[in-house]
Amino acid sequence: MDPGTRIQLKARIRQEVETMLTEGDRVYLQGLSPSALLEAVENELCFLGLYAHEDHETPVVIHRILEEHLDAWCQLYLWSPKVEIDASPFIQESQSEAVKILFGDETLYFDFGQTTGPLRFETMSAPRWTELDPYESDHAVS
Amino acid sequence: MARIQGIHLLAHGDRVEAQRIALDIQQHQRLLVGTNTMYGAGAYAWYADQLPQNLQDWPQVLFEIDDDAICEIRLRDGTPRGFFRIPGTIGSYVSIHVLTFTNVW
Repeated sequence: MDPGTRIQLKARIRQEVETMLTEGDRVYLQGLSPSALLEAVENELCFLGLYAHEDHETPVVIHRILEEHLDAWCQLYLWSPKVEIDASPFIQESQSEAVKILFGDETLYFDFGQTTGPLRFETMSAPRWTELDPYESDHAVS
Repeated sequence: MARIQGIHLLAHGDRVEAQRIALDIQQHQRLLVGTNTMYGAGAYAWYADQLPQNLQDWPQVLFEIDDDAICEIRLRDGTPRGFFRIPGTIGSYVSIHVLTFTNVW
């Protein structure tokens, strides 16, 4: 498989894995062993028709890509804590004409790591949107 | 309740294995619930009119089933993925009404 095709395949796999891990039953998926999860992803990619039935090379490449990246993708999409936006008093998800949310170069953070003393506020540079797009760069997670 | 038509792909495209499986499906009008799936235990099938073009030459069985016996797979925003799950316990069978086999024999 040539490098260009492999990069395209990896991007498609990552897209499908992201969908599976974010849309699937999180509790069920977290209960699968690593090998069972790998097999489940492979089954799903096969079901979705990522390769023709007489193609024996692509499944091998898919297996290698998943072995290499599935742990990182699981950390990113399955195990990372989700922010319950609706329940948060600090964030308004929906935008309206009355409330504007500004996306500036700096973002205000609350430091919940400390257990005593006054709540500390910090600012740090916010990443640009292009840096957040997982499909823009093949090196976003490696 | 309505009847819907689904297409179950056989043996990941392995035609020899598909022939063996097709005999069981034809004889007993059932699908085996496999292991390790992403959206829960069950037999998976495409809606007959949603089968992707690149899967149309795979060995497959066209069948009918009551729509209250299936769970449609959708994204959280409601977008249908084009396939559904017939819930069942891993290793058990779910009942279908076979219409025809394609690309098997």
